[in-house]
Amino acid sequence: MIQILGAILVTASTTAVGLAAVQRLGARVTLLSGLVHALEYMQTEIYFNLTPLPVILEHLSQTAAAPLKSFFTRSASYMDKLGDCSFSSLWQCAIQECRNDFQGAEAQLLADMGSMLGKYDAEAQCRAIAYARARVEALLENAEKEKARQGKVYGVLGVMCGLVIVIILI
Amino acid sequence: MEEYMSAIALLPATIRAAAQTLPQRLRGRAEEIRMRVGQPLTVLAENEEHILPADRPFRIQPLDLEQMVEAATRGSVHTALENIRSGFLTVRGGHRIGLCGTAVVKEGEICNLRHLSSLCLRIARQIPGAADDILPRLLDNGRLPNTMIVSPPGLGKTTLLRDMVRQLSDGRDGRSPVRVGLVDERSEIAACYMGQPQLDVGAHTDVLDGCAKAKGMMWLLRGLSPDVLAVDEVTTPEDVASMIQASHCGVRLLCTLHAEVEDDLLRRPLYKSLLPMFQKCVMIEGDRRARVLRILDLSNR
Repeated sequence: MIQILGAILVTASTTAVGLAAVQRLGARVTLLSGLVHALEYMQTEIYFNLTPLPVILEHLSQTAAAPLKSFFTRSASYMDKLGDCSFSSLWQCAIQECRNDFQGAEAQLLADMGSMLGKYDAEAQCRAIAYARARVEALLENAEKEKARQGKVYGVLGVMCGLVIVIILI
Repeated sequence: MEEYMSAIALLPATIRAAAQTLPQRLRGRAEEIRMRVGQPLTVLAENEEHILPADRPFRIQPLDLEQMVEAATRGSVHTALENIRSGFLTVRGGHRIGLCGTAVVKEGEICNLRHLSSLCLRIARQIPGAADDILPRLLDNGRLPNTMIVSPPGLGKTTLLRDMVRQLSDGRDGRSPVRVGLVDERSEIAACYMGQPQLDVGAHTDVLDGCAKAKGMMWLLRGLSPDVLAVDEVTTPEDVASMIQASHCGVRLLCTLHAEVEDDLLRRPLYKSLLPMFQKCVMIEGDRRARVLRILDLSNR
C-alpha cells in the first residue's frame, strides 16, 4: 500500500515539474504577446493623438495582463517624479524592478526604446517603438515555436521520469 | 501668493527650494521666474529681478532647464512640439514657459530648440471682475454687439477679454448665459492643460485650443453654434477674412487688436475691412498703473 502511495507521489511530483516547465513556456508567450499589443497601443496613441506618455502608461497599467501590468503600474507611478528625474531614468528603474519578469532580450529592447521615448517628435518615437515591436514579435515567434516543440516533451518527460524512478525503486 | 506657489511647484526640487526664499510680501506681485544657464535664479516682481536665494545664489545648470521642460511636457515632447516651435509652453495652472536656446532651423522655420539657454516662467493671473464696469455699458438689450478691445501691448486686453467671456458665458445680473466659442490659438485666454481650462472662462464656453484663429472660427461655427465668437489678437488677413465670414452667420464677435491709439486703429489697412462689422470698441489707454477704458461707438463711422 505504502509502495503504491509512494509511486503515485513520485510520478505526480515529476509530472508537476514537467508541467511547470510547460507553463513557463506559455507564460513567456503570453508576456511577449502582451508586450506586442502594448507597443502597438503606444505607437498608435503617440502617432494619432499625440497622447502624453504618463496617460499611455496609466491606461496600460489598467488594461495589461500580469506581469506586464506591474511593469506599467510602476512606470506610471514614477511619472510623478518627472522634473526631478528624467523619463528615461524612471523607465529604467521600472525595468530594473521588474527584471524577474523579463528576460535579458526584451529588457534590453525596452531599455533602448525608453531612451528614445518622450524626447523627439511623434514620428521618431513611433519608429523606435516599431523597431522594438518587430524585435519583440521575432522573440514571440521563437517562444511560440519553443512552446510547441518543447511543451509536449516537458509534459511527457515529467510523467516518464516519474515512472522510471518508480520502476527502479520497485 | 497662491499663483506663485502653484508656479514654483513646476520647478525642479533644488530650484524650487531657492524660489521659496522669495519674501512673502513679493510673492503676490511676482510676475516671472527666470532661469538662465550659468546665472542665478531670479524672480521679476515690482519691475525688478530679485536674485534667489539672496544670501547664497547658485548658477543654473543646463540640466535644470532640461528637467523643467521635461516636467512641463510630462516627459512627452511630442505633445508640445508645436508650442515649442512658437517659443512657449502652457503648463498646469495656466502658467507659461518661454523658451530660448539654439534654434534648429529647417526650410527657414524653427522646428525645435537644442541647448536651452534660458527659460521664463510667466505666472498666470486672472482678474475676475475686470469687466464688471465695462460689460454692462456695452450690452444692447442684454446682447453683446460686435465688440473689439484695442490697446498697446501690456495693458490687459487679454485679461479683459477673458473676464468678458467668463461673464457672458456664466450670465450675471439677471442676464441669461450665452454660448461662447473661444479660439485660443496661443493658450493665453483659457490656458488649457490636458483639455481643461486652467483659467475661468465660464461654464458655457467651448474652447478650441492651439488652433489658428482663421480655421478655428470656422470650426466652431460649423460644429458648436456659438452665440458669441471670441478670439485674441487679430493679426493676419486670414483672421480678418474669417471674422467677416463669421459676422454673416448671425454670431456676435468679440476680439482684441493691437493699436496704440484710436487713429492708429482707423488707419491700419488690415483693419479697414473689419471695422464696418463692429459696433463697439473698448480702447484701453494710459499705462499699467493707471489704465483708462473708453468705449467708442463704431456704428456711426
